[in-house]
Amino acid sequence: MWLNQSCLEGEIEMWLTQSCLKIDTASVLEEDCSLSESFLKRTATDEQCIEMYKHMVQGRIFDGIALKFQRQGKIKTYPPIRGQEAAQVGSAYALTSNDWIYPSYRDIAASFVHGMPIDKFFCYTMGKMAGQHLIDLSIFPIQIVIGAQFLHAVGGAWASKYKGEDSVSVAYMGDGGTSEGDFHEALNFAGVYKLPVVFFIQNNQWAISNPIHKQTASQTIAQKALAYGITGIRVDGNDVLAVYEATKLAIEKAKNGEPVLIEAVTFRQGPHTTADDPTKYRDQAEVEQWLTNDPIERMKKFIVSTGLWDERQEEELLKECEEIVLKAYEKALTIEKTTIPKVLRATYETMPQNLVRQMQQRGGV
Amino acid sequence: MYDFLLPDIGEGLHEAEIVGWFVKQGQKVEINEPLVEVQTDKAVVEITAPITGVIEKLGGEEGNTITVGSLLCQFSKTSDSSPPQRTQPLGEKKEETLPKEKIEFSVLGRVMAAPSVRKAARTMGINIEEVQGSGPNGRVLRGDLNRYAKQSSSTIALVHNKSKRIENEVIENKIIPIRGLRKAIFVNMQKAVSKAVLCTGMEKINVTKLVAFRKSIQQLPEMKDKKITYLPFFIKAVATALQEHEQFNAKVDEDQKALVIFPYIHIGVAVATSDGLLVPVIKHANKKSIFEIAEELDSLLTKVLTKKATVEDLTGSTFTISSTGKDGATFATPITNYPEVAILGTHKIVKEPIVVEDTIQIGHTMTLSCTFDHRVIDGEPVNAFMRSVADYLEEPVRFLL
Amino acid sequence: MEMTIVQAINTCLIQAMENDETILCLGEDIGKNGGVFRVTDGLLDRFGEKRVVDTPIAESAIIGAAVGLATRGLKPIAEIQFLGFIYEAMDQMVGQAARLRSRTESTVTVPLVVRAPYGGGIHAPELHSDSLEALFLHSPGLKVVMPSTPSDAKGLLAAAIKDPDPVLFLEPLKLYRTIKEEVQEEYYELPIGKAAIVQEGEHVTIVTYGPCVVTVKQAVAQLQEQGVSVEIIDLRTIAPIDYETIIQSVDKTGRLVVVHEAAKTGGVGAEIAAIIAENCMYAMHAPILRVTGYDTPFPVSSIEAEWMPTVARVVSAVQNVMKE
Repeated sequence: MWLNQSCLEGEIEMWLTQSCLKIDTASVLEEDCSLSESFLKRTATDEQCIEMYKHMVQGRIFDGIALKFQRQGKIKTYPPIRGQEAAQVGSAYALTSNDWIYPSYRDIAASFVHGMPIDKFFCYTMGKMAGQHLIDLSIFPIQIVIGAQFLHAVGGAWASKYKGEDSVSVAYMGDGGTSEGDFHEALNFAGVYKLPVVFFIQNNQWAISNPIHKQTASQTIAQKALAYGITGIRVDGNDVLAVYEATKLAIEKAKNGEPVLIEAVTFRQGPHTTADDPTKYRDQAEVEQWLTNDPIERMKKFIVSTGLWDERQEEELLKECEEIVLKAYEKALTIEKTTIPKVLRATYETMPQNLVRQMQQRGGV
Repeated sequence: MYDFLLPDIGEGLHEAEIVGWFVKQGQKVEINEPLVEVQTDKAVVEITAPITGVIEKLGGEEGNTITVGSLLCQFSKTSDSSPPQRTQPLGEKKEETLPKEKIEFSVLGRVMAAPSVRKAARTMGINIEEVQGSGPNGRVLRGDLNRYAKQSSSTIALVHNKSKRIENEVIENKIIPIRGLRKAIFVNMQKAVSKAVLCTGMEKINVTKLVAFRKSIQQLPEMKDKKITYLPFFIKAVATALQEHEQFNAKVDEDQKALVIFPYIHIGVAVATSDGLLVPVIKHANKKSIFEIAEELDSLLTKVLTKKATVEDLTGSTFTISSTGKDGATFATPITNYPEVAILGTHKIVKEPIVVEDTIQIGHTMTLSCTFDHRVIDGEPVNAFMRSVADYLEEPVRFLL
Repeated sequence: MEMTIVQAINTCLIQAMENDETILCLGEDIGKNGGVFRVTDGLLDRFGEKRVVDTPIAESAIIGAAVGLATRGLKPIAEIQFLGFIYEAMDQMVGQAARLRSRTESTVTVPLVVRAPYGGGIHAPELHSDSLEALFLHSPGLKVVMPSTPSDAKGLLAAAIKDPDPVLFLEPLKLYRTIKEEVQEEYYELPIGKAAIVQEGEHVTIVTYGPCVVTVKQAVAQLQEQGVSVEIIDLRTIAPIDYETIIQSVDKTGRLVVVHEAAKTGGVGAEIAAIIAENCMYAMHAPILRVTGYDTPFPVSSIEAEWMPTVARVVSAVQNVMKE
């Protein structure tokens, strides 16, 4: 299950290639939602299963409303998460408040689970700086530059090791990010310094219009861990329990000086952002195929079949989630807007002479 | 009423085409319910209702294209409509308020001066465009401002004194010593008259064509910022004529009793200055074009007026021209610039009737006065010489030949 | 105590690290090797591997990890071996470190110091001599400090370490060991953003920084013999620029010459000229001149002496503005 350099020992020919590796995708829930016989065992309690399910539904409801709001002009460009709820929720749920996440712009559900209030995200999409006040929640500011957060997570993990903290830093990114230079530099540093860091890659098959097989010649992303002397694992990203269990185990390893790269295999059901039209570059057939493997449907099937959940609870949950989102939007509207004087004051701790002059030219204040 | 304007739903969208409405006029719609489908240049997009309300007006029909920021749909609010916090969707630019005050400004001429000098001029109350610049390329320097300031004050003093004199009649003679340049002119004039035997020939010529010629040159685009006077034409005409009438381009050697003909043609131009008559010289004038003569003349005159002319600039002439200008006499008897044997006076150009082939036409005439040393030149050569000069001034096309 | 710039920086680092456990150094060859110029010599022995870290060759990682460290309560001092190599880390410097404060309304700050040697004059191979300070002057959110003397280096580095914002501390290669002067051993700070008036004068102001300060001093000695009184200003900090000091000086002299090694177009001199044009126009007796490197990439070392500003070029420029 765990990929590392030792997989390459034994009867290997001179030339090293991918064919030296046999890589499985770990899961907990089978297609028919029975528990699998594989090595990832379920440790989540019933309560935890329900909680994770609720988080996933909350994420999806939020996503649907946000999309509508963007079309109504209430918020700016929005990157939908539909289809990736299990990967984000399962991983974030395994963290404690001591742990840090370094998210990209699409890791919204993960951020919610780790404590980000929904109104903060609305603020961010409205261009209000208050949306980035997340540091007290151990959430690093949302990263827009693909891959830069890998290094920040490495630095963060290094800091917690330096200070002797019981903490892990998790960098969230997609498959596209694994092509950036910073990804490789980050994994290399993590391996050299044995840092308590987890690289959580959601392989949602698409980087805007670039499919995974054109993103890398590697058969899997998980195997890239070997090149840097760290550990990798490939999990079924639409199986929230698999993601949860794998992340839990990965965190233990990371805290013991064994950084981990997790590849969660999932699918981006919607467009890259609200400014994108995926019908231009991918087949509807592929989308249809993946819709039969919807993460929320799978978990629902499991908790219903085990008697943990019923339709009444489902209805209540949907209503509750929608109310929460709408309330959060209303709250976000009341938050102060970003202004030029605010930005002038927040570029340095103390305004230097040039900014003081520019402030004065505006008429002070 | 709530106006729902078409938002920018796709990062820099300009307009969208209405594909299909899900609602119609008069229909009540719940918030977030489907409203309309629009086609952008990226995709077909569904827009949902931003508030709960009744559709009052649709912003366009199916197939219409509407621009971002224009009306998509108008709602009237029902009792259960939540008042929206904004009526303009995000992406609308706030109109920048322009400054209200009008500023006073003056259009300045093209004077070259350092910023500190300009400021000094303003402080001293001097219009810098009136100051003659003595720096490189005519740049106005601090010293020029100071000089200008002194002159103005002395002019005022002069006027002041004049009025005073009228009031208190002065009984005694006023004595002005002859010194400096005045003394030099004094001596030279004395010599010219005492040694040479001077006689003056006068002639009136038809310069109608010259006037037109000069005007057409002045109107050329390359002459936009420059001024060409008649003097360069006179100089060129004289210099060319002197090539054929070499005895006019000469001096008398009193001791040798010989007429010394110069091997080059340097035309002196008599200039009146506040201190007296000076004669800057255009050397080899016969070899220069009218334009070159004009430029050199301009620079020499500037030097003279700014007291920067050198000895070299002011000596070495072989023949002199004295123009009395447009306000001067019609005829004169100029004194030769000793030891030169001749001088040509040019006078004002007058517009008057002229007989041309038995008709009277309006044209321009000019008079010439040529004073010469009769010891060595007789009358007839003078006529011939003046005729030569006139040939060019009457038919300026000859300058091209 | 007499110190060179190398010794001044070394001493400052030791003193800072002794008093603050949150300070750590990272960079290529800074530990065992003590830095390719020996600036971090002895630090590994004193403070150990935890606080003096030799890194792989990965400039983006060095700065990126440093940003991660700085935003988790530590004070990293990262070294880029030669300023020319910082291109690899441009996003982490300008896209990340410089912006984190302003995009989070000061809830996230980056108290990072990045040290890098720069400049020509030691006949180094390509890309080892580049002066790139203008790129960072144009990156709001960063500070750029460029001392020219041992005492300035010690005091300004201390200030950089204390500064809550990311500071790029640039060290003049050429002067590392060529200047030795009396430097206060006790820990002290000099203010970032304050220029130094090296010498007062009446006729013309020369604004300069880094290795050119030495060139300018030599030129001024010659000019003094010709009766020209020059006021020399050593900027010491490139970002933020000390407007007040230079404006005050040029208001007095009415003549300005800027001297820097970096290429002319879009260089720091252009910004100084614009500042003076905005604020001192009516005091100017003459145009503003800049004596700089040529608008080419830094050339092969065999012609670098001619490419960089020379004493003769500085003298000539001053004579030109005096002529007006």
